[in-house]
Amino acid sequence: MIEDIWTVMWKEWHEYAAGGGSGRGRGLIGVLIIIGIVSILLPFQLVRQGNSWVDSPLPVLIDGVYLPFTILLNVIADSFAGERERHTLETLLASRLSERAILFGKVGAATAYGLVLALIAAALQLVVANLAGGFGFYPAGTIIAIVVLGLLFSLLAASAGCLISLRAPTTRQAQQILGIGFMVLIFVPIILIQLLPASAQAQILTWLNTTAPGTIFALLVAGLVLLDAILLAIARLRFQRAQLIGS
Amino acid sequence: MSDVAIRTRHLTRDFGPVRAVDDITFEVPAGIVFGFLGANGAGKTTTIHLLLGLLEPTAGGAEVLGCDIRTQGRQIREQTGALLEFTGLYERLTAGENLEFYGRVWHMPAAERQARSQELLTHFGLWDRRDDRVGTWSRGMKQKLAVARALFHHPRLVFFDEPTAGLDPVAAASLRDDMAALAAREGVTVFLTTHNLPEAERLCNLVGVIRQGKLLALGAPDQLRAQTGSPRVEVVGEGFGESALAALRARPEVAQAALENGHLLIDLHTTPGASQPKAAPLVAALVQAGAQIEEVRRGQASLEDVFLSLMEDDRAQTQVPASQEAAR
Repeated sequence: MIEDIWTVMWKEWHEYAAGGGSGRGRGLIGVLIIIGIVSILLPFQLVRQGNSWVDSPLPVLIDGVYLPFTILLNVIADSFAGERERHTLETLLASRLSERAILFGKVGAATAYGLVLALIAAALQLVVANLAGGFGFYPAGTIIAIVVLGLLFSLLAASAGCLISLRAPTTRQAQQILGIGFMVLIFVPIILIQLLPASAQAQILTWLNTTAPGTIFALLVAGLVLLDAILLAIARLRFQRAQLIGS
Repeated sequence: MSDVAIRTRHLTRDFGPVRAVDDITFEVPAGIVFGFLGANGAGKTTTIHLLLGLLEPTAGGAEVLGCDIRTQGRQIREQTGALLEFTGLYERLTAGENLEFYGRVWHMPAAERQARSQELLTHFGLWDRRDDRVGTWSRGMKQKLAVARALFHHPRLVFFDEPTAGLDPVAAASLRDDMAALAAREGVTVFLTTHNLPEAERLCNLVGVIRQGKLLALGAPDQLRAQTGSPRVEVVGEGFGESALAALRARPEVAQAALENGHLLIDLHTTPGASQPKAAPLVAALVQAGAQIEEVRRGQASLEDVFLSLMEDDRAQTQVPASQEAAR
C-alpha cells in the first residue's frame, strides 16, 4: 500500500516538474510569480520601513496559510479532472493500483508540494529580510507554526481539491469551484463575526486576548486535523472506480 | 493453470434503460488471440470494462484468469495489461518515465524495469527517442508505446481496444506485426477489439461478433466463413453488361452477382450436405451473353463479408418483430 502511494506520488511529482501543456505549466509560472512577490517584495518593503520580518505574524499567515491554498489551487484541480481530460484516468484505473493508493498518492504529492514550496518561500523571505538589514532568525514558535499550518492547510487544500476534481468534468471547472470554495472559507467567518452582536464580538476579542497563543494554536490545529480527516474520508467514499469509468 | 483465460456466463450490463451488453456467454482459451468484432457502440469497450472488474455486471458473470469479475477485480488487474480506447500515456513525461511508472505500479525491481524498458522500446524502434516527451510523438509511435506499456509487466492476458484505429495503413501494419510477434513470443492471451476485419482475419485464432450488446457469432475465422459466408466465384474479363448479369441472376444457384472494380463477383447458394455449385455453367452463361473471360477464381467470402452478413441478418431479424408489433 505504502509502495503504491509512493509510486503515485513519484508520477505526480514528475508531472509537476515536467510542467508544459495545459493547466499545470501555466500554474507553475504563476506559482513562481506569487512566491517571488511574497518572498522578495514583502519582506524587503517591511524591513525597509523599519519593521521586523522574522518577528511579525506575516510569515505564518503567508507561508502557513496563504501559499498552500494559492499554490495548490491549480495543481490539485488538475489531479483527477486533468487525467480525465487527457484520457489517462481510465488506464490508471485499469491498473492494479487500489483506489486508496491513487487517492492518497495524489493528496500526498500535492500536500508535500505545497509544504515544500511554502518552506522554500519562508527560507527565501528570511534571506531577503536579512539582506535588507533586518538581521535575525525566526523564533521557534514561528517555525513550528509555519511547518504545522503549512502541512495542515496544504492537506486541506489537497483533500478538498481532490474531492472536487473527482467529479468536475474539466480542470477549469474544478479550479473555479475551488476558487469560490476558498473565498467562502476566508470571507464567511469574517462576515459572520461582523454580523454578531457587539457584545458577542467583544467576548470573542476578550477570549482571544486572554487565552494563551499556544491554546489557540492547538485548537486551530485540532480543527484543521478534524476537517482534513472528514474531507479525506468523503473523498475516499466518493472515489469509486465504476462511477469514474461510467462518468 | 486453467486453459481458459476468459469465461463469461450470461454477462449483462445496463446503463439506465440502455442494455450495453446483453446476455453474452463465451470462452476464450489461454494463449490465443481472440478478436471481438463489432461496430461503434456495439458493447465491446463495456465488455472489456466488465472483464477488468471496472464495472459491475447487471446480471450474469464472468471469470478472468480464474478470478470472479464481481469480487476479484484487483486480482484480475494484477495479472492483465490493457490498451484501452485512448493510449493513456502521460504526454508530459518521457517514454522512459511512462514505462518506469507502470513498472513501479507492478512492483517490478529497478533492474528488471530498466531491462524490460530497453527490450520493448528497442523492439518497437523507439529506444533512441526514450527521453523525448511523449506529447511530441506521432500517433503511431504513441500507440506502439502504449502496447509496450500494456505488455511491460508480463501480463498473462492483455486487452487491446482498437489498437490500430486512426493510424495510417503503414503504421497500422507495422504495429500489427509488432503486436503479433510480441504476443506470440510472450505466450500472452490477447483480447483484441477492432473495426479492421482484415486485421482480425490475420491475427485472431478465435473471433466473436457483437451487435447491440448481443453475441451474434463465435468461432475461428475459417469456421465463420464456412458457416456464414457463401462460396464465391470471381470472374475477370470484359463485356459484363446488364444482359450477362441478368443471365447469371436467373440461375437458381446464384445468390448475387455484382461488378466490383471491374471484376464480376458471384455469390452462390449452398445446400447443406450437397456439393458446391460448379463454376463452368456460369462461365458458359456469361460467354453466351457476350462476355469475354480472362480468368476465373473460386473463393470464399472474407471475414468482412461474414461480418456484414451477420449484421444484416440480425438487423432483419430485429426489424421483423418490431414491424409485427407496430402492425398489431
